[in-house]
Amino acid sequence: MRRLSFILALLLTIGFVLVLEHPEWVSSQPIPRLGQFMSPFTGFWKNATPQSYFFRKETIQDQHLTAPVSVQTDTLDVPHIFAQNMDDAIYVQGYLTARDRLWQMDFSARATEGRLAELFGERLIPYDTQQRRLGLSRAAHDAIAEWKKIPENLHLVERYCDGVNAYIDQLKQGELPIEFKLMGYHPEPWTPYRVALLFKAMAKTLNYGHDDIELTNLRSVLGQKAFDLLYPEYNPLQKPVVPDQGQWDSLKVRLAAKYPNRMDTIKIDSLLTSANPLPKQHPGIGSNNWAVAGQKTKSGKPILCNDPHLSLTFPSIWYMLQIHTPEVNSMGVSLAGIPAIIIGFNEQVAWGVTNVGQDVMDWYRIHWTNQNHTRYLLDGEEIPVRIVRDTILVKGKKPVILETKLTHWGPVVYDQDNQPYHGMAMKWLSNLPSTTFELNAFFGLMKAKNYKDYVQAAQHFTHPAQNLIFASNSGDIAIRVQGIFPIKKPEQGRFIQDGSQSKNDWLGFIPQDEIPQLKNPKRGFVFSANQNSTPPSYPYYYNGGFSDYRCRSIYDQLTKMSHITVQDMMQLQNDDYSYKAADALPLMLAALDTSELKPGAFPLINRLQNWNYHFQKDSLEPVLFTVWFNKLKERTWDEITQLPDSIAVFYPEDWRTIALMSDTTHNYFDMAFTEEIEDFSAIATLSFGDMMETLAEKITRRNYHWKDYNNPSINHLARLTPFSRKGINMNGQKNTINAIHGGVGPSWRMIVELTNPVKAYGVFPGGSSGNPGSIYYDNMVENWAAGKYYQLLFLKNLDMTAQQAFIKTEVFE
Amino acid sequence: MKHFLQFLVILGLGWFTQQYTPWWTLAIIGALAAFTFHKRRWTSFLIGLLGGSILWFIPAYLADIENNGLLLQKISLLFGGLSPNMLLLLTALIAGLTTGLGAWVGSAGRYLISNNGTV
Repeated sequence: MRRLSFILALLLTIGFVLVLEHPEWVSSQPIPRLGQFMSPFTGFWKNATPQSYFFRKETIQDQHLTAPVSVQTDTLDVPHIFAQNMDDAIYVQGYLTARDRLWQMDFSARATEGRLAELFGERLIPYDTQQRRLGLSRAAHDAIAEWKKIPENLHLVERYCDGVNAYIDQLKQGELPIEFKLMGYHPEPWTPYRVALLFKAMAKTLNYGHDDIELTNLRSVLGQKAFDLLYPEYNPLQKPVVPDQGQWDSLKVRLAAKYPNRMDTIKIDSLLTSANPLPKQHPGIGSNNWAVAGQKTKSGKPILCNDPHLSLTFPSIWYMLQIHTPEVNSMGVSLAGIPAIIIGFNEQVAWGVTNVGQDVMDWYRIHWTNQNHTRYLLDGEEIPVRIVRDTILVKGKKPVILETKLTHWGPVVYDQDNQPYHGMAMKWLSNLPSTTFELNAFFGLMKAKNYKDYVQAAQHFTHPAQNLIFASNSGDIAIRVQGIFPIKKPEQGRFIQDGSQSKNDWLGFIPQDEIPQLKNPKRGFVFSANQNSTPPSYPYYYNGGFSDYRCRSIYDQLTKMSHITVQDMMQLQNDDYSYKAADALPLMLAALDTSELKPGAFPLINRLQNWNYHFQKDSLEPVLFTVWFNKLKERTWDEITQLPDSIAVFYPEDWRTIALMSDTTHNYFDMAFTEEIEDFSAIATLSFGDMMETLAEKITRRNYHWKDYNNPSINHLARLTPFSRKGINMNGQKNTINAIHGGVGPSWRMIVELTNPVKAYGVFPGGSSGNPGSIYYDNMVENWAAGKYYQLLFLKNLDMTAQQAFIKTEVFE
Repeated sequence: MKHFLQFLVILGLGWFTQQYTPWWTLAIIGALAAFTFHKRRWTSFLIGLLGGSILWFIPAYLADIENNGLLLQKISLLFGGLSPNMLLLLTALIAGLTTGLGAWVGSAGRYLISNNGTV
């Protein structure tokens, strides 16, 4: 009896502990290991940071430093690093970033590498497969090999990693970021390879545009003439980044002699299916930047502004900091996991970036010569593919061995018949070996003093190509379409190309002094908003995806403005006026056939007639317009949506649809499946009815507004809803300067006035901390949504710090 | 008095070891204390339950107060709307049951090897 009682107790105890350690035995839901997770000594309670932050002074012992480093953390939770040299400063940048953002860094690196199935199980095998096929990991290894050629280059990256690892090494279970505890794994050491991986992740975010299949299909279906009418490459209403001022005249002559022929494009034997469409680069991804010269500002000194638009996430994309050494004093935002400041300023200059959007991902149809697709034709010869084997570890399952075929062009990304681009090879700039040490661009900008330093630093930056804008306190403003760009024949890379002929390869790369650039134009400003880099008269051909409307808003406003102040710039960054609505709505309203409308339509028409085209959070008009316009597109482009579902196509761009509204020489407004012949007026009227039907319930509710339709959100990286923010109350739309569009929007707003001392303002949707249990996780969200800014505390030296309010002082020695 | 001592031993030893060892060593603490103090199994279990619960409840409760409920609110949503108070209770219960079950083992073990069987 006694023995039975003992054994029963022992079994119960062990069983209880084991079940809490292995919740997967009893539940198919992902549950954390409850014992550890709920423990106030090691679990989530430890992530509940006390809110009453007292001024603290701490000393951190560290034998890796050459001299003591002082870190002052201001009331925004932004660290200011004072070091005796760059080595130590970057080391501490690594340490602090890890302390605030370790899970984000580790998770982003794993996701880029294609290693999520080992954490989350087999449902992530397709994601991992795609990441590995894209070759991001290979490209990161190649980048390291290139960086290693000059040891000084790699040195700072290694110092950063040392800093991260010093933090990881002293980390106790209780201090682990909560996501590690929830998902039950641990951070891996930070390495130069993982730094390179995050660079590649950025490249995938920004440099991934490809419409080759859709355009190839559309040209086949519509015929060349209709295709040219509906899908022209250049929107003449755009204001390009760099205008033609005759600067390319001699280059035009030289190039015309060198590359006389147009691209021979291949005929595709069959239309390309897309049962399983490729993830597309998010259409809302884009950014604004501009710099105004002293002639246009009240202070007489340039002002530089930048707001990069990205998928908004928690932890925040950006990590703000100041780095001060005897040679460098720079402040701005960095990317968690990468050393240096990416967008920022110093005492003399400021810089910022927007995405260029040129197409640097081309697809080649492979002509296989054997059954199992291991040999292919190139210039009449049979060539074997190189096969790379990858092991994808899978949680709770056997590992998957993945074979990737590498061709002359690049990897064959898809090999199953139901996948798009199957049997095609991808040539992508971002998975070619690096040619420079990209980070030198940012280390260079951090210490740049003038235009010359900026140009020199910029040339290290290769991809993803950025409109790199600049202003200095000596009065210069400039912008460069910065990156390496393939030299292409006209229309090369727009469509699927024949992969059996090496002459279809890129013709080389554009020399750095021939990329579009602009310095101190007479108009007194430079700017970019993901529009075309140049007018079509630029002698090198390029294609890509370019935004049509924000560039016009910025151009027109800056042209009008004078005696500009920082407050004016804040207003401009938060502008919610839509040129698209202003272009389209008057035409749509004028075309309405009121005799065909229900009586309920008239109050709505009246509202739209009085609307000022501002996408304001509490108005209904932006919703009416948006839904009406989308319905109108559906009815107009029925000839395109009527195509079998299996064919990948997309609508003409909105600017083209609008241009056709006032053009009567075509019959695209006629719906293919009706007897009558519809014109624009009929389509506008029918789609107005569609809109009313769709919104009927919402219109009568009277509390449905633009913000409800747009639903501005910031999602947690692992899509944990309680750690995300939805339904944020703010103005704007993707075609307005304040380009908030669902979960995509301004990830950082910065305004720098280059007076002496420099005045800088900034805000981002989040905070320094990656910990959902800290008030600094999302402390800036409300002000960001309201269009308010923080004046950034930019310290000239450590002595000033005594007067300022800091929440923490730390000394690393 | 010995009851209270056993309770204090669990708190003191538990507080110290929980900083450095996995959470389930609570069962060992409970067992050791029960073995040493040699109480009836039910008594031992209840003392373990109470000791373990309080050992976890107090720091959890204080952490939540200092954090103004910010994180607990989010965790509560993550746990399908289990209320913050229920989460506090669950925390205490996990530690309490682990320590209590361990105490039962300790107590039963002591009975097993002691000859006279009296308390």
